[in-house]
Amino acid sequence: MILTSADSAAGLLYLLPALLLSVPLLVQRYPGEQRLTARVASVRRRPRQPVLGQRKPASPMRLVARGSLLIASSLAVRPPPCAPATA
Amino acid sequence: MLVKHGSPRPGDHPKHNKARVHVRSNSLSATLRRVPVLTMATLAGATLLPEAANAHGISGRASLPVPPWLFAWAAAIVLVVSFVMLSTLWSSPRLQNGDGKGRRLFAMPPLLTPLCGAIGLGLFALVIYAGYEGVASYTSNFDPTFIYVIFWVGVPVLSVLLGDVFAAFSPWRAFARAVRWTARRAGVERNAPLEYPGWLGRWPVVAGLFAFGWLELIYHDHDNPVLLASLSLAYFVLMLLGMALFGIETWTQRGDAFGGYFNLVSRLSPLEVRDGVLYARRPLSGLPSLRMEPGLVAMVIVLIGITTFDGASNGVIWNNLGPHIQSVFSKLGAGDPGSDELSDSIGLLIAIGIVACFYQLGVLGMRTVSSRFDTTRLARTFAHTLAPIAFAYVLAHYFSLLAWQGQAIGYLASNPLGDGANLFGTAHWHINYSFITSTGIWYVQVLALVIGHVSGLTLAHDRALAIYKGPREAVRSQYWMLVVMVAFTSLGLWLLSAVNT
Repeated sequence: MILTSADSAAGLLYLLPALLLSVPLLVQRYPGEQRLTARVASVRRRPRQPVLGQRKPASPMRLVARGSLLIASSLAVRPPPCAPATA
Repeated sequence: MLVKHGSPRPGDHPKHNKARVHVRSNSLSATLRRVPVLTMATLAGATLLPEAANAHGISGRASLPVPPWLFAWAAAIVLVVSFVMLSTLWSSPRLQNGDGKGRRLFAMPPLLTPLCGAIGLGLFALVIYAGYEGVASYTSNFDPTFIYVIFWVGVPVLSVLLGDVFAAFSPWRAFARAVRWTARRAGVERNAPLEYPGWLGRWPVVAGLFAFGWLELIYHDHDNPVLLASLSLAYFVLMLLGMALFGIETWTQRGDAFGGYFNLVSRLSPLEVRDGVLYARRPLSGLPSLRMEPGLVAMVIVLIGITTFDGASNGVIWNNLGPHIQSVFSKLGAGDPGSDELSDSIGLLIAIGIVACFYQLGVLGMRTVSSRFDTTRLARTFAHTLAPIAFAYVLAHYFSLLAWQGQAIGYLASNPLGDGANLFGTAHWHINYSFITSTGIWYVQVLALVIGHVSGLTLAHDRALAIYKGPREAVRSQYWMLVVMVAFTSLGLWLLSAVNT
């Protein structure tokens, strides 16, 4: 005998998860498929969040020099040009 | 120092060390009809073979808090949870078209490539010299440990961590590039005379990997240093010939078994060198750009099959079945080592066949989801998802070999010929078997298998999103890949478990 009953039982214990998962698929059943598909579809419909790399237009406040930049600009003979509209 | 029963000791045979040391280590309806048959055949085959699972095992027994089969169940649960999370949170392909992308880190020094090539050539020369001039002992000679442990197991691990390091150190590639550089300087330059035939694909790599696996696991005199040096030299000449005929890079990818294998696993790495610049990329993102060509599926299946047989060959089943096959060959007139090698060759083919059946099962299942793709195309399209599994199998099965026997290179570097030299003052070094316990190794192996299979599932999910029209087809196809991944995980843990526990 190549395989004793103890060997078979050990093998079966290891392979049981794969067997259990394959049984519904073999009869063309996909448990939880509808919920997963609905969830995927809803995620796809959701408006995309802005990507990190995309910068928002700078707020008007950022166009005004503040703090040390304000002091430096005030003291400088030739201050740097104003910040562009988008930072 | 913790040396458990059966632990490898300095002086043990590397192959036997491995055995003891590490945990071995067309039509839709027609397709539907074939699936259950194939499933049962595969599972029956797997049940027959792997109690051989005692195989390839670690020395000593890990003390585990739960029965080892529960680890297979826990791994299956992790995979199912990963599948659900991927299906719900990973809604568009993110890893496709990753080729040529990545964050630039820094330019590599121009002299680094020639320096690495020179080191590779130097090591190759040492292998040849030690093989012919060193003592004919597998433990005292540099060659067996260097080739079977550092090269075959260590380089893939380095490749996953650092990218395709072998491309820089490959001695035959470095030699060919040096010849080309010299020819250019001399004003003699020519293109490759032959175009690489498309039908050949990666089959030369498959043949080379199978041959190396056969040499390592089956050939009776596989650790003979003279033989190893001669084969290395022959391989070097063969590679030069291939590169001369088809071009250096073409042959390195498709004809060089080791170049192809190490490049495959390096695609798991988050690092990549391109045009002399080091880039950081998303882990796994190098794999989807793998060219789908003939032999690709066979390549990954052979890789997994070699490790599977290595594990199974030391187990109960094969130890019971092998002698029967061996006696058949003996009756047919094969000699003593010949009949043993023939029966082991059949075992290797069976192991590769079982792995192929697992994958084919998943592919046939996916074929039932959509009739737009035939099985061949599906098999090639998802072949790259097996690459992390192949690496996980290698790491899990050979981890203890690398961790323990790999230390031997410390004293072998000082005394490569085994003649008592002490070139670097390290000849007195010993292997420290106590720095990791059997239980620790078991957890590393389980972790490697689980991470490898979750990575495979992630790659398959990403590819499914890219090729299927709607989420329903994509999700359905991945149910089948989930079964494949769970089956591979269970098989791997079964192979590793018995001796270890």
